[in-house]
This record gives sequence, structure tokens and C-alpha cells, in this order.
Amino acid sequence: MMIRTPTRRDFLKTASAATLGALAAGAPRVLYGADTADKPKASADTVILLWMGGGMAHTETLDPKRYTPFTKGMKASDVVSTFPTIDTAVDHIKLTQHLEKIGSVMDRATLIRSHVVGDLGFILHSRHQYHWHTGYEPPLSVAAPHLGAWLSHALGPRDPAVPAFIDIGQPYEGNGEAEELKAFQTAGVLGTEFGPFRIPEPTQAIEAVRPPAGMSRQRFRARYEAYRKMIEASPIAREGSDYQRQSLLRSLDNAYKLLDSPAASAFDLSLEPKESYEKYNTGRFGLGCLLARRLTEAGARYIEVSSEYIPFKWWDTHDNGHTRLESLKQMIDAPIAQLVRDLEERGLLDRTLIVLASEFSRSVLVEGKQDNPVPGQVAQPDTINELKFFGMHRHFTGAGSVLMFGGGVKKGHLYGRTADESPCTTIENPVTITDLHASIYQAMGVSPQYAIEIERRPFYVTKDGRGKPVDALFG
Amino acid sequence: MRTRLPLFVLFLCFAVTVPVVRAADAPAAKVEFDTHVKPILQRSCARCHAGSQKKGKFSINTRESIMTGGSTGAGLVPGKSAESLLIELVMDDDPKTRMPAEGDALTKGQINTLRAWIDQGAQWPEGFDFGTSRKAPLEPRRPLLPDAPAGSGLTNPIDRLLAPYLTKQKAALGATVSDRVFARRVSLDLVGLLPSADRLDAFEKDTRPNKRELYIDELLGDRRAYADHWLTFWNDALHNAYRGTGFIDGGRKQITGWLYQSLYDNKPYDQFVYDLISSAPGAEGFTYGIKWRGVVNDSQRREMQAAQAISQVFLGTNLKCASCHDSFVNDWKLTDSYGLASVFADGVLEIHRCDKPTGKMAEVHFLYPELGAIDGAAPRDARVKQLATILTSEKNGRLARTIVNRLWAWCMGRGIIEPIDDLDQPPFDADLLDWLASDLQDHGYDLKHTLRLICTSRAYQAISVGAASPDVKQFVFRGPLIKRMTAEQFVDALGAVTGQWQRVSGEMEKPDGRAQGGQLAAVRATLARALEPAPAPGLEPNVAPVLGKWIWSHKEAARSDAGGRIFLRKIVKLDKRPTRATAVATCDNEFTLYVNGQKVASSDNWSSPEKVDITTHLREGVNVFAVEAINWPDAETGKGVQIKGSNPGGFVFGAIGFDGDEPAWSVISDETWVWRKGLVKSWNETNFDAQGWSHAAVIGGGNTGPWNLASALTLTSGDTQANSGASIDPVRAALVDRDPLMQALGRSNREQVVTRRESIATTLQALELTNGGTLDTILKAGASDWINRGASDADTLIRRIYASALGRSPTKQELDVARSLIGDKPTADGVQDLLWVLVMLPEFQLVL
Repeated sequence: MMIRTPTRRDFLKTASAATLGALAAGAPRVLYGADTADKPKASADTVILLWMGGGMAHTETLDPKRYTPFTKGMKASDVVSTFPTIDTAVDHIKLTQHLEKIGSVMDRATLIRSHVVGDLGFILHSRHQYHWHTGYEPPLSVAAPHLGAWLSHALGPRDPAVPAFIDIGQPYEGNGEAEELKAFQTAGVLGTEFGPFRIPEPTQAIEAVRPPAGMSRQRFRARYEAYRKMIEASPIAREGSDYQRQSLLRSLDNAYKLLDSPAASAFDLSLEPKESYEKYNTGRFGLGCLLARRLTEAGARYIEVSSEYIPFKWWDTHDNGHTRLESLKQMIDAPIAQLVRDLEERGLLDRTLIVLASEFSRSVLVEGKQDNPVPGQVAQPDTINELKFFGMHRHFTGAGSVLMFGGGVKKGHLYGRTADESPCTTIENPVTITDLHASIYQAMGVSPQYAIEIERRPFYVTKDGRGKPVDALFG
Repeated sequence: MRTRLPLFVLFLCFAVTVPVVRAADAPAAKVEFDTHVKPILQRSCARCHAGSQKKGKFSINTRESIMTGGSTGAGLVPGKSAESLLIELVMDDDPKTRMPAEGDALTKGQINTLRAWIDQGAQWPEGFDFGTSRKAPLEPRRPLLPDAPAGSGLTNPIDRLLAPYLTKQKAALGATVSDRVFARRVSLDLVGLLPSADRLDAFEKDTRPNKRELYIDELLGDRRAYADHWLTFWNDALHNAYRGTGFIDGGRKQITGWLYQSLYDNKPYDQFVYDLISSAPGAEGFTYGIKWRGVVNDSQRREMQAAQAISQVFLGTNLKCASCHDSFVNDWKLTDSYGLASVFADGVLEIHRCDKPTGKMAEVHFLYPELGAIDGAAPRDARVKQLATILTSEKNGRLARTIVNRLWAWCMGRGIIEPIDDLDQPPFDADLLDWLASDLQDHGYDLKHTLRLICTSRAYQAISVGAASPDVKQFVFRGPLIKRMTAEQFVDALGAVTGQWQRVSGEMEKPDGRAQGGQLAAVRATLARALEPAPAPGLEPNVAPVLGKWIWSHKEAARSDAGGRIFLRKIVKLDKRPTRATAVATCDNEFTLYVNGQKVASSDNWSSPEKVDITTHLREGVNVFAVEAINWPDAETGKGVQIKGSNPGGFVFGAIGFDGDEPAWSVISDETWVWRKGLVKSWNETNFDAQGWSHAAVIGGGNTGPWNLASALTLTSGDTQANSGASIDPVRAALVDRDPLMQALGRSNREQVVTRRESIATTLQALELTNGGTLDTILKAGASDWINRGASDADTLIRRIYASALGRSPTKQELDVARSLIGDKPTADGVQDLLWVLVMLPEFQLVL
């Protein structure tokens, strides 16, 4: 696929309507970080966030510990991992069973094992996810923008024909926490221009960028042509120009360009060769990774692929942790490895930062933090007699693993360490959400102090502008 | 490439970053104090060196005070950054001596900005002082109404007030708009609807000289349309959501019923605010705020949310900064925020600075003590009433100024003061603002009065102007600005043009177990009350609300039960058949309710109690309520699965009977009910002998957890089945849940207070409008409706659609384009595309 570098002219065409209008309408202006001198040198142009919504247990996935196979009558406190350890392409990095393919590309990875997320008391998934995606803990007096919205705001689209912020794989329908999820999947105070372009179902992505169902391309074009003519013919159109009118016309023009552009074919998974399609096809998440690869090639700025958060489903393993983790790992293993290889083969990995993360980890016994237990946690017997109690069923915030590839991160690098005994908490080089975000922003050439003015006060891309990039991650 | 670009293009580059705007070492572009320098000084210096803070005897309040400097010497030498101590200190390599002493060092870019500013002469806006922020007067003021200029014929007070202003500004209003433009504008502004083609025709033909006033009265008199429309405005401002964050734990309450009723009744604004602040029944949710599960930053505890929302919405001032630390955007201190929050606190609040406890305890205190005191020792209920009283007192001119400014901004597109949430900013015409505010007070805080005044003014009826200049300081009022339709206005306009109004779902009709949804029931209640005849004099209008108790076979059931099926009975004797009777019931997990052997309700969704009309099932004499109740898992029926942990079970019931409009009796579930296990014949009939059945155990009051369903289970004297008969067709956009189309068009999730919607069209919106399913479905159905209505020929159809959408006839050229779309014999596709084209036109989407 062709990758076109947008010209300045293209860019102005795309963005000026919005920005012009935003100014006139009193939308937030940039306070800090726009100055060239303050911009870090970018090592990446695109971010792909692989989101393991629901709480991925570190000791069951990327941070192997002593393996204790299931036996009736085993003590819960003895269980630190329910999977055997496996070797990877890097001698000193081990993973757990069922992540063999990711293991084979660990020589391109930086693995953080000391991600410590906020301790927000009772552990509500959507609230922690809000925190992770915006860097701010709700509730807030203003609506915080999503990581992708900030990048979209600070950097604009990479290609004007591809939305800057694309959100794949999280449907809302029928989800008991849908409103809570929507609350952070938004550009917030930055304005809807910077919000997510949502693709809940990757196989139907093409629907989002083609004429409405049942409308031929010819009719679609004729409709727009008639619209342009009608504007010309309208007696009102001649009454001088105005930013709102301009912005309406321009936004529609942009939409039509996108829907009718060759770049739109990137959304069409049916165009992917069958062999390659099948390499990714472990279900919605796997195909989301494939779509992310295609959109990276086409010029997206920020892509999030969610494994989908639904209370008690997917990574939200309150029971049968061991059994469920096996299939979850199989769901992510091949597509992630393939994504890394494909981007590398296309020469894009160096400028694409892949980040795999989750809102918190899990433990057999500890909920919250070791010294700060949470009331109302799920029942877990001290002695395990049934397989369904075998696994990591409680929410744990003291440690977590974040896997990164490309975009300037070191290769075959391990950062941070956790204890070997339950609850396997962080013991070395803790990385907070704020600092992880700062690292991502820095890699993208955005100052962690980038800020806009809202209600006459600064609002920063990392909490209070205090994010410190973890330099040790980058090489 | 170096091109001269106007300033706004430069901004654009800042905002979205393209190639270089100003390289680090290139000759710096002109630095603007307000835009570039002030934010740096404010952020990095002000905490220690502005206002009364003068660490090291150094103050940045004025240019002079910076030049004079502090204990280490002069701060700056205009024109010579290299000789300026300010620059030296911020560039210091030693973190111990470098400025700012607290927080991050300045970035290279910020230092360059400061250097350029000094080198360019350290320009400073005249009169600007970091130490004094303007404070608007609090008292109401009644300026004299100037005489209308001779021969002007102006009578509306707004026009008389504006005349001297316009003369002074050497500005003039545009011509008065045509009847059609006026009618469309005023209808959208006051009730959010497009006038129909017929109404426009009639309006144009009307020859009465005061027809515009009459039309305004007609619109304001449509209580239903007015309430539907302003519901959007107030839902935004009072962050009232039908569903969303916080409801999950019972941490949020809707005020929909109270709000709709208040708008419908045009409740006087002082009373409206009083109710909200004092937690009048139904209005509690506003100050309750959102309670998140878990530990919350102290600046966002619910009491602080209340303080922030009250100050922003009713007083036009911002406490958000001062919720973490003493503000640097206004004069509020941390203690001011906590003082106001303490009014709502059950105990004493400890003051936290940036989420760190300070050890100091907050004292109840109001921002404007000159209005009156609140007794900190009084109980919460008394305190909130005191606050509500002093805030709505006649002495508080700020309350009225804030709301008239919002109404002005709503109609005119821009406030007399901007931003509309900061009343301490200077108004463009103080007399105008103060007069309108006092006039509102003088007219019993009747918001419709102020709206009428604005809309009948010549100023409102002038040709609208585009918002050309973003520069607030240069703003001169020349007539209303062109506004963009809100999401709700647009969707309702689609309804008017296509005949496709909002679809209603069960969730919108009935609140769920988390008290989400059910907004339509709240609206129906208002409408039903309006339809009901007033109660006869002397009758007690309310009986105590009827709320059953949760019962089961044993006391522990609210915590844990083994599951299974039980049968319940209750006999009541009625002197006569009621005129109306309503029952409500729910069960964890499943129940069937019989009245006198007849099945009247069943459900297996405990979170959504069933409410039914049982009038026809009741008789004079003995009646029996009988219930088959199941707590899952039920081994007998095989229903339900074993879930982990505790397994609560319970049943709750209430019924109310009316004699005419008067509540006559009630029945609730309590220990007088009897139960047994195992099905027996005729168990649900009146003549069954329940000998040997046991008395039920009460496991808790109506609001017992884990169910917490009191609001959905309570029956009141207004709770008659007649309520559900009130029609609310057509269903307006404001009443339904947020769909993807409305979300794209800027309807917020109402987690925060929103006082102004985005007015800009964005690409994501355009995508939703171009291929989104919601709009496509509406247009498709609308097109077949138009065809089915059977226009004789294409031109007639086009003219009708034009009249409906744009309120005018097409020009010849427009007719040609339309014909090319729909063909000689109109097809559904063609009409759909024409509809799309028309509703995408700026003329349709903007309020001109």
C-alpha cells in the first residue's frame, strides 16, 4: 500500500476549519509544548495500544513465577503462577506457556514488569481504565481527554485521509458499564474533532468508511455532487462567509474525501490475502491487530485495539482463571507476534510504538494493595478443591506488565522486577501511569508538559505536567 | 518556506503542530503578553510572587514591580534579556538557586519566549495587574432606562439601553429580518423546533402589527414544547443524566421528574435555585453529585462537586482551581471552597491541599458573606436551606445577572459577559446587564419574561452576524451571532422534516434497578398532573408514600438463601371497589402476582419492579393478593444457576387504591403476609383456607440492600395508572437516551457541568452524518413517507420538502438541482438523497 506524506497544504485543508472555528468559539488553546524548542525528538509516528481490558494477571502471562500445577487440596497461598515458564528469543526473558509466538519476537521488545497503577480504593474496572487512558483519576471537574485524543490534538493526522485516533474492538451495546467506558473514550475538553473513530467490529470496519448500506458508490457521489451544486445555487450561501458555515462545508468535504479515498481500502479486511488473514484470525482481537497493521500502513496516528471489556468476561477472570487464561493467551499470542513481524517487514516497526497494557493485574489472594485490602472481594477458599478456584481472581494494583515494541524502545530489554512470592509485587523500578504516558508522549515527540488552557487554567497531557519519561526504556 | 500568515493560522500550527512555527534560535516572532508570556508567569511564578505573595520581596504583579525586583536586584531591563536577572534565575544550572523554586524548571521554549518578550521591550497591557482580579459588584443595580432616540420608534427597553452603546461604538444593527427568518430563529431559540410550513405561511400573511409578539407568546405558552427544549439546557448545566457513571453503585440520582415539572410550570428562578440547593424532593440529585466507588481525590468529594457546580452555574464563578489550592485565576482560597462544601457535609471536612491533608478543619462559610451567614452548628438540612435562602435573596444581584447573561447568550450567541461562567469579567454594556437582571427580579424571577423581552427587541430581530473575530476584547455587539443547532435541535428538525421522531425503548419508560432511565415516566407524570382536574378544596393532596417491606420465609434472606419457591398470601377487606388501584411488586429472582385468582403481573428482573393497574381485579369485600415467589436456584423448577458467594432472596409489594382522586387505602408486604412451601390447589383464591401457613419474615424496609429500590417501589397519591395514559408524542430528542448521532453532534455525557455546546462542525460529525446508520435510517423512512403522501408531480414534492425543511420555496436553480436528484417520477432513493442534501445545508443546520 502506498504511504503518502501529507503536504502542508493538505494539512491546512483538513484542519483549518476546525481550528479556526475552535478559536472563534473559545475552544481551548495550547499553552505549553507547542514551541519547537520544547518538543522532544520523536522516535515514533504512530502508537498502537493493545488493551487487555479487565485486568491481565502478570504472573500468568509476562512475568512467570514458580509453577504450581493444580492438585486437589492445594493451599491458595502457595499458588503464584498456574502456568509453566517458557524460554523466548532472549535468554534472560522468560514468559509463561501459551505465549510462544510472542516469545519468538521478544528480541524486538522492551518488557516492563513494574507497572504500578493507582490505588483507587475499591477497584472498579471502568474507573481504573479511565485513569489509565486519560492519566487522570475520575471524578474530575472537566472531561479529561483520552491518550489518543491528546496525540491527535498535538500532532494531527498522519495522513489527512485517515482519522488520527481509531478505536477498535470495544462494542458498547449490552455492556453494563457502557456509559463508564464512553466517559473516557472521548476527546473531552479538546472537542469532538479529536475524538475516536470507533470500529467496534474489525470485520465490519469497511462499513464505517463507505457509503451507507444499500447505497451505490455512484449514487453516493451523485448525492455529494448535488450537494455542492445546491450550495452554489443557495441564495444564502452568497451572504458572505462565516466560520460555522465554512466548517460545515469543510467537514463534509473531509468526510467525503475519506469515504471515497483509496486509503479507505485499508479498512477492508476482505482485501487481505487469505494466508495472512488467517495468521491473525483468532477472533475479534486478532483481526483488530490486522486492521491496526493496515491502518498503520495507511497513516493512522493512534490506534487502540481492545480485547473488549465486559464485566466478568475476557480478562476479568473472577473464576476459572487458569482455564480462561489459556484461551485468552492463545487469542493474543499469534496476532501480536504477527503484527510485530509484519510491521518490521514493511519497515514500519521502528516508527511504530506498540504498547500492550491492562488497567491492573490480578492475584490469588490480595485485592488492591497488600497493606490496603478491599472489602467485597470475590470469595476464594484457602484450600483449593475445585479447578474453578485455580487462578488469579482478585484485582491487584501493586504490579503489572507492559510489553512494548518498536518506536525507539530498546530491543530484548527487561525493566523492573517483582517479588517471587505472592502477591508478587513490584520491588524494583516502579513505573506509574503518569511516567509511562510521559514515555509514550516523548516517543511521539510531544512534551509531557504539553498543555491547553481550559477555564483559564492549564490542563496537561500528563497529570499536572509531572510525567517523567522513563529514559531507560529507549535505546 | 516562509509565508506571511495571519495570526490565526499561526495558532492553528500551535494547535496541531505542523512544521516549524518558531525555531529555537531563529529571530523570534512578535511575542504577545497575553498569549505567550502571561501563562508562563502565571504558572511558574505566580504562586510565590503574585497578589499578596512576595517571596524574596519580589512581586510580578506589575511591569514596574518586576523591573524593581526583589532582594537580589532589579528583575528585568526592557530590551536587554541578557542583563535581566529574571532570565539569569530561570536559566540557573543549580537547582537550589534556580527559579521557579517549586515545580519544574522552565523549558527552553519558555525561556526563549521570556527572552524575546524582554528584548522586544517587555510590553505589558495597560492597567494589567496580577494582584488584582476584577470583582463584579454583588448588589443589584437599576440603571435608568434611557429615552429612545428621537424618532427611532424604539420601545423595547433593550433597544433603548443599547442605543447609547451602539452610538458610542459607532456600530449599527443590521436590518430587521424577514418574517420567515424571524419565525424560524425564534421558534428554534424558544422551543427548539422548526415552525411548520403552514405556520410560516400563516405568519407571513398575518397583517397584525404585533404578530411577532403574539408568536413569541404562542411559543412561550406551549408549556410542553418549552419544557422539552429547555430540558437540554438544564440537563447540561445541572449535569443530570438519564444513565451513566455513578448509577452503578447508587452513587447518583436523577432530577428529571423535578426538572421537567419545574420547566413545565415555569417555576420562578429563585425558587428553582432554592429547590436545587436545599434538596427539595426530586431535586436532591443536583447537590448529591456523583459518588464513585473507591477513594476519590478530596477536591472531587461530593460536597466539593456541589460547591463547584453551585458557584459555576448560579453565580458564574469558578471554584475548581480553589478546590485544590488557593486559586490563581481568581481570588478564591482553598478555605472558600471547603467553606461552601462544608454546608453539604455531614461531618467536619479536613482541608486537603492538592489531595494532601493539611490537618486544618474547614468551617462553614459562604463566598459572599455580605449576603448573610450560615450557622455552622446547625444540622445539614438547616444549613442547605440557609444557603439557599441567602443565595436567592434579593440582595444577590449576581444570581440574576448570571442567568440573564446565559439567556442572552442563548438567544444572541454570545453573552453580555464572556465567558458566561465568569461574571467577574467586564460586560460589554453594564447598564444592559444590570437592568435585565433587576428587571428579572422585579418580575418575580420569571425567565419567560426575560426571554420575551429579548426576543421582542429590535436587536434580537436584526440580521445575524458571523462570529468573525475570536478576539474577545474587540467584540462589539452588532446583532445576534449565527448559531449552530444543538444536537437535539438538529434531530428534532429532522423529525419535523421527515416525520420520524424519536423511538422509545422500555429502558426510557421505566427506571432500572440502579434508578437509571425511566425519564419518559417522569415526563408523563408531569403531563398527567397537568391533565388531571385539580383536587377538590379541603382534600389532603398527598398521603404518606406507600412503600412495602422486603419479606421472605426467613429473616436472613437479604443476605443469603438456599433458593427455592415459596407461596405468599394476604387478605384484605375493602368497603367498596376503588375508582382506581395500582400495585407494584418485584422479587429476587422471579414472581407471579395474582389478585383474586387472576394473574396480573410476573417478572424475573428484580431490578425493574412491575407496576400494574389492578382496578378491575378488585371487588367489594374480601380480596386476596397471592404470589408465587422464586429465589434462584430453584431445584424444583430447575430455574437459575448457582452463583458464587451470598445468594439473597426477597419479595416486596405495595398497592394503593383511590376513591375518586383521593387515596383511600394501601396494602404493603409485611409480616402479616403468610407463606408456605409447595404448591397446593386453589392457593391463590379468596375462599382458600390458609390454615397452617407461617407468617412471613420482614428482612428489611423498602430500600433494603442489596436491592435499594425505594424510588422505583414507592407509590404516591400521584401514582395512578392514568399517568401512563398521558401521550408524549412526538417524543423529542431531549427526552431520549444519547444515540451515536447526538453524541457526534456534541451532546455530552453530563458527567460534568456543561454550559455551552461546541459550535464547530468536525470531520467525525460529518462522517456520522454522511454514512452513520442513525441518520440514514431516519431519512430512508422519511423518504417513503413523503412518497406515500403522494405528491402529484416532482416539482410539487420538491416545493413541499423545501417549505418543510427551509421554510421557503426553491429558486429556479435549486429546483433544477433537486430535479436532477429525484427524477421526473420521484423514487425513494432520490427523495432520500434530496432530504440529505437539504439537511446538510448550512442554511438548515445554522440558526440564522
